[in-house]
Amino acid sequence: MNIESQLIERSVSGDTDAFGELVLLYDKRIYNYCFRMTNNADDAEDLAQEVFIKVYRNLGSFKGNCKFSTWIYRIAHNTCIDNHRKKRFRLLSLSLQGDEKGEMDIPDKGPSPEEQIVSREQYGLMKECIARLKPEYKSVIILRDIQNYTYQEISDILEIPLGTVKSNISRARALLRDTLKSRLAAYGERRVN
Amino acid sequence: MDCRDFDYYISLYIDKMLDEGDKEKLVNHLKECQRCSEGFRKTQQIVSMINSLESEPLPHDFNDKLLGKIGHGKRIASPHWLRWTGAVAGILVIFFSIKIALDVGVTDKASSTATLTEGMKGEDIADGSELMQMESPGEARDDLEADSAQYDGVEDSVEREGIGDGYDEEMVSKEDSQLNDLPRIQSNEVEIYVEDICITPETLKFIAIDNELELIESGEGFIVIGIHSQKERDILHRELSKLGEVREVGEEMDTDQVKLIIRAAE
Repeated sequence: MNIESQLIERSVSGDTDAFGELVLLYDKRIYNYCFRMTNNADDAEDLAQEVFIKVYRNLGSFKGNCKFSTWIYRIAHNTCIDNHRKKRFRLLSLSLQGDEKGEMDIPDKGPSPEEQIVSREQYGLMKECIARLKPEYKSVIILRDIQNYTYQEISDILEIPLGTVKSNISRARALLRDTLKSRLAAYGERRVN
Repeated sequence: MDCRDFDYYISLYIDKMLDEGDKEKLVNHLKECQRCSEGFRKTQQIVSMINSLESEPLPHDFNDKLLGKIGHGKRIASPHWLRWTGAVAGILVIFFSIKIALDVGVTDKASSTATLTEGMKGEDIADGSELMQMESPGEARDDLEADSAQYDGVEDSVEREGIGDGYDEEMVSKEDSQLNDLPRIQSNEVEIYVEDICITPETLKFIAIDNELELIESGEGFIVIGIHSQKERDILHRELSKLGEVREVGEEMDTDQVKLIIRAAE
């Protein structure tokens, strides 16, 4: 039995120290998942706490049918999605829908103004673009490109078919690429003016 | 195939998920199409940038806060399988205890008033006609002094597991299932009592999609499915039963839409 399984077993028996150690294996990853899903440190902390409390209360029902990491990420994802639904009206009021629909025009060919912009600004815009993706795209980008999960693991965590994982990753990346390009172009124009 | 289709291939190529045939198609297209070639380069850059995003630091008191909440929180629920294993073991113990009582020739039928035996309703038990005539375990014990040590142990274990209650629940559930023993969804509203907190309306959506059922609407804790044949009612019942206990609560029958509501099992 590996350490994780031992910690799970001891936690189920009521050993809170063991649960504390189990949390240490996942706290940064789950917090970061929640952070990227919400783009807000306070929300991420509240959600990650909620995730671990759910894990603690339901650990007895973890049947081992999937990997523990899959189970805990699934809880994290569902918790973030529930939070997103609760805040949907606020998000809608920010008028981000144009970005989310993936209908932005690809800018004309020409010199790339983004080449002139320092990397820190690019990263800032990149984070902003990720934050504005709709949840089904954001979750696959976080799991694949930030947390390095395989397509199959993502399919298991999100409980969606492998084909959907492939197409969502592809769409999300294309959307990020096109959105970032147009934002960088706009940013470059503002700098010139 | 237009250029937008190649975005799909570009993404799979970056993750080394593209088979040889499709890889060749992509490479040939990139040689001819400057826009896709540029898109490919930019997508690689984007993935590389996302890969290198730094982790956000965990708030310094995250773990203390969490353990503080847990210290005052609810205890971990005992595993579902353990509860049922206990219940099944208890039932077997009662069955064999009664069997022992029969074997030693206890025949005082007039004293057969134990609550547990009444609760079993005879016909629900294998060889029920025989068991219906039996004494309560408590009275059987009076006549089985020689086996008292073993029997006391049995009764203690039954009390510890609360089998009396568990068994009654199982009987009620059996009666319900007999009443609703039709393997199809019939009413316009169904509640699914699930133990797994990971079962959400998304889960129901995928079941609908996998089984080619029409998805009409989804919301907080529910989805609405379109039903167009009796076979679809059978499929729906079969799939929902896998998730948990299915209760038909709708008042209208054989409608062309069924609302599926997820409820947490007690």
